[in-house]
Amino acid sequence: METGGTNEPDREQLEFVTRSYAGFQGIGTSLAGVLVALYGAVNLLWRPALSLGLLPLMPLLVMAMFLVPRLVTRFYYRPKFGYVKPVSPNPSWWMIWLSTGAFTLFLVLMFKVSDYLYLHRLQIPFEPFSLLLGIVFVSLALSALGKTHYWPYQSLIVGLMFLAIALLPVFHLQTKEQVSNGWSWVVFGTELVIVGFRSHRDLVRNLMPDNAQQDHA
Amino acid sequence: MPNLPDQINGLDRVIHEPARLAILTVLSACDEADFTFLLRVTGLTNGNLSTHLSRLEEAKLVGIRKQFVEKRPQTIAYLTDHGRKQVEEHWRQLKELRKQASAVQRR
Repeated sequence: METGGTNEPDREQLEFVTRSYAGFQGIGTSLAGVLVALYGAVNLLWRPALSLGLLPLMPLLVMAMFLVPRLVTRFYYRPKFGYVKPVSPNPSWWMIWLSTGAFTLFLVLMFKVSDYLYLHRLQIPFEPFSLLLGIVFVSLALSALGKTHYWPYQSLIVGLMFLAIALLPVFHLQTKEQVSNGWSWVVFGTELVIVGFRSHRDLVRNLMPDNAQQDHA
Repeated sequence: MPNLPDQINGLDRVIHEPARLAILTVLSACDEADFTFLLRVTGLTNGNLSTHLSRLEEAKLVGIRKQFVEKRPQTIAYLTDHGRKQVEEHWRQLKELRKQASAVQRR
């Protein structure tokens, strides 16, 4: 990794790859995304499952979303790409707690909104869960405009997809249950799959090929 | 202020070697990293990396720890406090040199 024209190493690149190493380990995220999307697909395709109640699987899915990436890191990334302990205090833990808190808050809010709609028998034609997610992603994309070097198209596309599926019940194409139990999971899972693969691809692009059998782990 | 050639000669040769500077820069961005990661990020061969790490350890810039993880040997490298200061100082010197060199070019 050298800068063009001199034999000096590219400091920014080396520091960036090292600091972002944990974030680049995306295969676990992709696998978790497959589970989430499968859960939605089963709900959509295998309708009797709905009456059997797949809802208890939700906590397992959320657990899988945290456990699968850790397992993949341990058994794939560490032997193949190596180990890096981030500069302490470890900022990634703060990120994990922050995102867990935000996710929990989001779920609580959604259940509150759903309960409110159910209790008051409000006949809102769109699916509120997907609509809220759509608004969140589109807002994130629009707020990132001009602040980053790349167009935040991925958040925008996912946001628009959530908005689109939220409106499916309006046109009587799908029921609200099909959207909330099926399509929203499929879209969210697909997003995780794409994000994970993109991260992994960036890692592979930023590291040198594994050109020798290592004597050291 | 010393002139440009003197400043270049004043650079620490142990640190300034490109492969070693790459290793030190990687280690300055984390608490510690293992041999495999250093291989993948620097593109060095096993032998070269071992040699450079030994050289850096002799200069007390880097510490080396060996351990077993799931019955496989793992070599962990980390910057010493002295090493961390030296790397930062080296990059600062390089930045200063670059600034002076471009000023000389403009004249």
